[in-house]
This record gives sequence, structure tokens and C-alpha cells, in this order.
Amino acid sequence: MAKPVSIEVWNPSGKYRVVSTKPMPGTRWINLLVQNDVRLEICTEKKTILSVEDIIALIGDKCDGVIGQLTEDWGEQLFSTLSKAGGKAFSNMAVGYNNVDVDAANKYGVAVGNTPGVLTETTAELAASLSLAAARRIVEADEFMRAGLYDGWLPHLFVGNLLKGQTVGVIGAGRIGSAYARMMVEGFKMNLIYYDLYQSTRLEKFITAYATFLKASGETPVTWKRAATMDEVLQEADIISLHPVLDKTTYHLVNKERLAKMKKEAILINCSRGPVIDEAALVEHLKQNPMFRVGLDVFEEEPYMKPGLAELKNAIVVPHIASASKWTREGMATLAALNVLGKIKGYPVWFDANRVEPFLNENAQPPAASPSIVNAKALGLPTSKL
Amino acid sequence: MAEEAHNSNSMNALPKVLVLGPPTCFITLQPLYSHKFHFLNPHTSSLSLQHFLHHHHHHPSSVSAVLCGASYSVTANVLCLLPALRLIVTTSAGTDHIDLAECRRRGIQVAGAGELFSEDVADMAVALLTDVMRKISAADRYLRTQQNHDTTPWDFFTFGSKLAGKRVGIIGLGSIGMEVAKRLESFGCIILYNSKHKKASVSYPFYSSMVDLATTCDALVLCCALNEQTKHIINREVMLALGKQGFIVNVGRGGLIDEKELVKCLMEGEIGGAGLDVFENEPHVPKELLAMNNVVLSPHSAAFTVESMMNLCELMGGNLEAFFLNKPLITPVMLPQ
Repeated sequence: MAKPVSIEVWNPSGKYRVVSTKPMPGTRWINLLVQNDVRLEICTEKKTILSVEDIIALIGDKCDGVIGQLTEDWGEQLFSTLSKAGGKAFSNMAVGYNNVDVDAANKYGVAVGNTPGVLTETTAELAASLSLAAARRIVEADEFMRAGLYDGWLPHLFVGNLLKGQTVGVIGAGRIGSAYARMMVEGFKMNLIYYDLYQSTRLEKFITAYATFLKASGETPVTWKRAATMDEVLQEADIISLHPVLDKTTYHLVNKERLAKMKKEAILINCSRGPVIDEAALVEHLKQNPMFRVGLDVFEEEPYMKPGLAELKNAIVVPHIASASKWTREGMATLAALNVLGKIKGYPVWFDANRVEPFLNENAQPPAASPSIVNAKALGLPTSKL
Repeated sequence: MAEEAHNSNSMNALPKVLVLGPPTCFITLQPLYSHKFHFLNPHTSSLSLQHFLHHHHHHPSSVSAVLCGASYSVTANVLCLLPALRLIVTTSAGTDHIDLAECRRRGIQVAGAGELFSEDVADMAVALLTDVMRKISAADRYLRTQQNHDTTPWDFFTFGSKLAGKRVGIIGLGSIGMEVAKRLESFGCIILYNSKHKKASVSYPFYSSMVDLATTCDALVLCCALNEQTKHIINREVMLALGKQGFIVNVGRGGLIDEKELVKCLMEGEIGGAGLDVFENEPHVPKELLAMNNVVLSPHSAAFTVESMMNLCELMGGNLEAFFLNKPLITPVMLPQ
């Protein structure tokens, strides 16, 4: 039995008991739960990642729902415990849910929530920021300046690459991948090559229309191409951004062999999930190819990096901050809380998980619905007609 | 021996171009154009410019063209040493290092880089803005120092600001400013601007007052030229108007910002952060900036990409060729009336 974990309690006399495995940004999510007669217990344990035992101790004998994090292992054991405690809902404070065994949740009748819609723009923006920082060697230059090494302007200091006319490659042209592609194509007049199992018609139409506009303005039109294979993207693109979901088929999607297929001076960006890249192979590739650059927001074994990565000048590493804007993180906390609350209250599931703005309007009460339940169909949950 | 003399004679027959600086692209340009021009390189000599010009038969009256970079000040004193000078080709877009009034008085034409660097500089401006707002460099520094600690870095690293929906004021809506605007629009930013004149061709709101612009904006991007009117265009009043959540990016010239006041405002938390590619007294960078987490610093490298270097060589060579063939310059600089 794990020793008791430290908690902060809100509304002790509340009818429903909800546990949050971490303190989350903002106060709106807390207020919404408290207003709806919830006793909220927030785990304040100073620990990187809570173990399964820690979470079992938190759930206790009676628990209506849990708000958790992507770093936790939500499988058979936890869903069984939550179900026995009368729990009806669990929500990740994340868009991804590769840490969740959805089949186990279905078995115990627990709704699994996630927080899409609020992350698209901010994650695409971070991928674009990392692309720019790598292309123009911003982080290296900043480090050079801080070391006091700037003793006069020199023409060959941190010469980067102009983005215009280069090719941006996107692997996984879903919401985030498409938003990133649009930023890079429209903003920097890059050409696009993308790989996805499904055709991204909206993205293709957007770029075609933009190319027509450029041509009419007397400029070189941009181009797009849907690649038949992922390797085609790796071989042709100057900047490659990864936006796949993480599952068995995408684990180590970028490995030693695939890194070798990329251009020697390519830039690789990952704001999706760490295990999509074989990080040890990447470290070796970066060492052997000093002109190859990488921008990473995620790592294979967070919060750790593979040995050698932190010492490399041709790597930009940031601590999983794709969603780290105040508005985004507070929005994620709100959506996660409302997923759990909605299920406890017996509300239907919102009709479109990507159109969650009504839940984020701070000047109005949120709709009586769960914003996004990934296993709604499997559990036969009704959908909101609002 | 005879061959050596022949080479020397053929070199003397070529038009002489005095190289001052030397400029950025000279290493690349020299081998490409050495069969067309005789480059005189005082930087390879220990002599002063005056002595160099009289040495090795390089008489000042034989020098009709100068090639220079932004780091070399072409003052009235330098021009006095070159009575036959008729052309200055500078590798920079800015011309504040050249005494343009004196050039006009002496009938010397000036050619610059024109709009060659506009897109490179615009890329850098957006790179600096996204970096300082999303805390890329700061996060990278943080993670490299935190890597051996048993803490979840993203639990403790403070939030950045997203660009979407932010109001960005562009100061100087010339070719660079326009390119910055186009890029930022793709991030969902709202563009406002201040320029010498209101532009009839754009729909962005125009602000004649810098304080009003700063009050309305979340970020300011400096893309204008440095002159008497624009020196310290960003002063304390403007910074206070921009506010505690506001960001400043400078890819223009260091003197556009009152640097002492910038340091003060950053230290006092009166503005949110800054992305600086240029400084008021280069290469001096205020020590206080080096320790700040909300600034991103770059060594005046906004214009320099592999692509721009190659294009610059072509343009500089093209301007020199045009001059010696009595053709119009490709990128002439307007001299003050």
C-alpha cells in the first residue's frame, strides 16, 4: 500500500468527489467543479510522475471521477479501482491519450476524456517557432552572445537558410499538421509535401488558392504534393515536422534508417510524442551530421533526454511547452474538468470535439455537455444536439 | 618573369575597385569577378589607407569605385582621399555608415543592397518574435540545466504567449516591414503600423503617434532606417505605453531604441521581453541583457543566409559592371536633396 499522498481540498462538503492528480493552471476549472457541488481534491505531491500505487491511494473508496496527466499509466488496474470506487469518468489534460488503455476503460464503463480543439493553433505555432529557430540558428546565436563572444560584426556568424522556395514536409496532416503547413506555406512561401493515410482536401484547396493568388500577383506560386510514402517526404523536404498519433505503428517511426534518408542539412521538428523518434539513433545522427538540425518539444522518456542530446549544438530542446501558453493550458484544465463533470451529471457528449469555444468563454456558463469523450460510441453515450 | 609582368599589366588595365571593410561577401565575390576588376585590398596591408593608396602605384586618382560593408564608415575624410571616386557600392541595405550629403556634393553615386535582404530579415524578425514570446531559447537553456534533476520541467517552466490574435505594430512599412506583416498574418496576428507616410496601398491601421501605436499593441517590430527622425524612436514613454506584457523586436539599427532605457524597463519588468539583432554601440552589448531570460540576442545576422550571400555577390558585381559600362545602377540609393 502506497503511503498517503498530500492533497489540497476544495469544497469539503461537496456531493461528488473528484480527484486531480496534479495542480492545473488557472482557477476557472476549480470554480466550475465547486459550483456544481463537487468536493475537489488536488494532489500536491512534489513528484515528477505519480505511480499507479499513488493514484490508487488518491482514488480511495469513493471517487466519482479523476482528472489525470499524460505521464500516468491508466490501464486495467486504475480503471478497475476507479470503477469499484463508483467512478464514471477519467479525463487526460491532453489531446493525446496513448497513456490510456481505452479497452480497459470500456470494460469498466469509464468514460475517457481528452482536450482537443484548444491545442491546434498553439502547437502548430510552436512547431513553426522551432522551425524558424533552427533555420536561423537563433538558440546558438543567443548562447554565443551570452557567452560574451560577440566582439564585432562578422559576415559568417550563424548564417542560416532562407525559407522561401524550400520544401516543408509534414507527416500527419491532421488538425495540427495542417495548421503548421498553412503557417509555413502562407507565411514563408514554402512548398509543401505531406504524408497522411487520409487526403487533406482542405489543406490542398487552401494551398492551391494561395498559389493562384501568388501567380496573379506576379510571384512564383507555391506547390503541394501528397507523398505516396513517408520516405518520399524525408528525402525531399528541407524541414520536416512530425504530427502523427502515437501508436504501435508510429513507435520509432523515425529511426536510424529513415534519418539516413533525409538531406544532410535538413531540419527535423517534433511536437507530437517523443517515442515517434528513436532518440538514441537521433543523437548519433546529430553527432555525425553537424549541419542536420532538430527542434524537440517531446522526448522518448520524459522528463529525461537520451545521453548526449543536451550537449549538442545542432539540437534545440524545450520542455514539452507546445501547449504552454496561459490561455491554452487553462483551457485544457477547463475542458478536462468539464469532461468529468459532464459524465457525473449525466450530460450528453458535445457534438464536435474540435469546436470547443463555447466551453472556454469565461463570461458565460459552459454548455451542459462533456466536451470530448473518446470512447463515447463504445459506451453508447448520447450526443448533444446543441 | 615575362608572364608575371604580363599578368601585372593586364591587372592594371582592369578598372580599380577599392575594397573597404572588407564587406560580407568579398570572399565569395573576389574569385568570381577578379577577371573583370582589379580589387585593391587595404585590409591585407598594415599601412593606413592614405599610405596604401600611394603605395604600389595605386594612385588615388585611379580609383573611381569603392566596395564597402556596413561596418566601414565612409566619412568626408575618407572621400577626401579619393578625388576620382564616382561610385560607392555598399553590401548593406542601410546607408547610415556613408556620408550621403558629401557624396551628393561630390557627384558620387551610391548603390546598396536594395530589397535583397528583405525576406531574410523578415524571417529573422519573426524568428526573434516567436522565440521571445514562446520562450524557445529560454526553454532550451532551462532544459539543458534541468536535465539531471528529478523534477518535471514543464511543471515549473513559465508559460509563453501565443502569437495568434496578438496586435503587432510594425515600425517602417517598407519592403522588410511588408514581408514581416505577411508572415505574421499567417500566425493570425493583427497588423498595425507606423511609417514616414500612410500607405495608400495597404489596409492595416496607420498610427502617426508611436505612443498610441504602442498602447494598442502587444508587440513592436522595428524595420525602419536610422536617421535623425528615427533615433531613439523607442524611448521610455513608448516602452511604458507598450506595457508589462509587451515585446520589442529590433532588426533595424541599434540606435532606434534608447538602449539604456530598454535595459531599465526590462529590469523593472515594465516590458515583457525583447528580441534584438542590433545594438546601439556594436559590438558592445549591455551586460545586463546577457543575464536576462526574457531577451533573445543575435549578432547582427538577420540579413545573412546562404541564399542572400550568393544573391548579394551577383548584385554587387552587377552594380560595378553597370557603372563601368556606363549603364544605370541596379540598386541606386537616393541621395538627400
